Amino acid sequence: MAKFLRSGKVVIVLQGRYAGKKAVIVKNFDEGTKERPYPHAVVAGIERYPLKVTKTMNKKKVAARSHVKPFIKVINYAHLMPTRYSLELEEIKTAVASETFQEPTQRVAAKKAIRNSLQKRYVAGKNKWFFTKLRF
Amino acid sequence: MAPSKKNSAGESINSRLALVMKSGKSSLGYKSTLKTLRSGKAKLVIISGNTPALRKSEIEYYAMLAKTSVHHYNGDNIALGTACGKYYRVGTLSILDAGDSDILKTTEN
Repeated sequence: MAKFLRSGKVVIVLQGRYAGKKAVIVKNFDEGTKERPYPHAVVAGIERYPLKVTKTMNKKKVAARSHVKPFIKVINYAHLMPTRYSLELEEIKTAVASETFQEPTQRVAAKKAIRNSLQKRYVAGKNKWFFTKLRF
Repeated sequence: MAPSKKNSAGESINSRLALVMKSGKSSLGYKSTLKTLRSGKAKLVIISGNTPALRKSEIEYYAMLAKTSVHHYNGDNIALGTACGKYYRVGTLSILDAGDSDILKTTEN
C-alpha cells in the first residue's frame, strides 16, 4: 500500500543490454509522459563493476581496478526489479535530467559526472552491495 | 506447506472473495498484480497454491516493499479462478478495493 519506486531506490535491470546490472532510480515518472505513455524511470547504473582488489596489489593497480563504468537509461518499470536497498543521491540527481537524453554530448557529460561520484563512493567503502556484481 | 484449513475457514475466504468480485475492485493475473503493487494500489495479494516458488517469492518481495499483506490461498489456480467466479485459472490476484467484504480485516491477523 506504499509506493516504493522512488528516487534513490536501487533496482536491478531485467531486460536489454544492461540486464543483470544494478542501477539507482534518479527520477521516476509514475504516470508516464507524452513520449512514453507508460510508467518509467530514469536510472543511473553500473555497466562495468570494479574488479576485486587484494592486499598484494600496489596502489596503481588498485586504482586501475577500482574504475566504475556507469550508464544512464530511461527504463520501463516492468523491466526493473526493485530491491530493499537505496542510495543517497545528491550529485547524481543534478547530473541527469530528462533533457540529458536528447543530445549525445549531454549524455557523455552526465556519465562523466556520475562516474566521478560513484567512484568516490566506492573508494570510500560506501554502498558495498551496489558495487558488487550480481552473480547469476 | 501450511496445514490444510478446516473446511469452514477455507469456504469463508471463498465467500469473501465472491463478495469482493461483486462489490469491490480487484486485479487478476500476475502482470496486473505487479502493476498494482508498484503503484501502491493493492491492498491484499492472494497467491494460489501451485504458483512456482520463484514467482511466489517475487510477489512476496514486492509486497514486502509495498507493505502489502499476502494471502496464500489454500488451493490451486483452478480453484482460485472458480472462487473468483471466472472460467479461467487465476494464479495471482490483488484486491484494490474490498467493497462490502471484510476480507482485508480477516487476513490481517
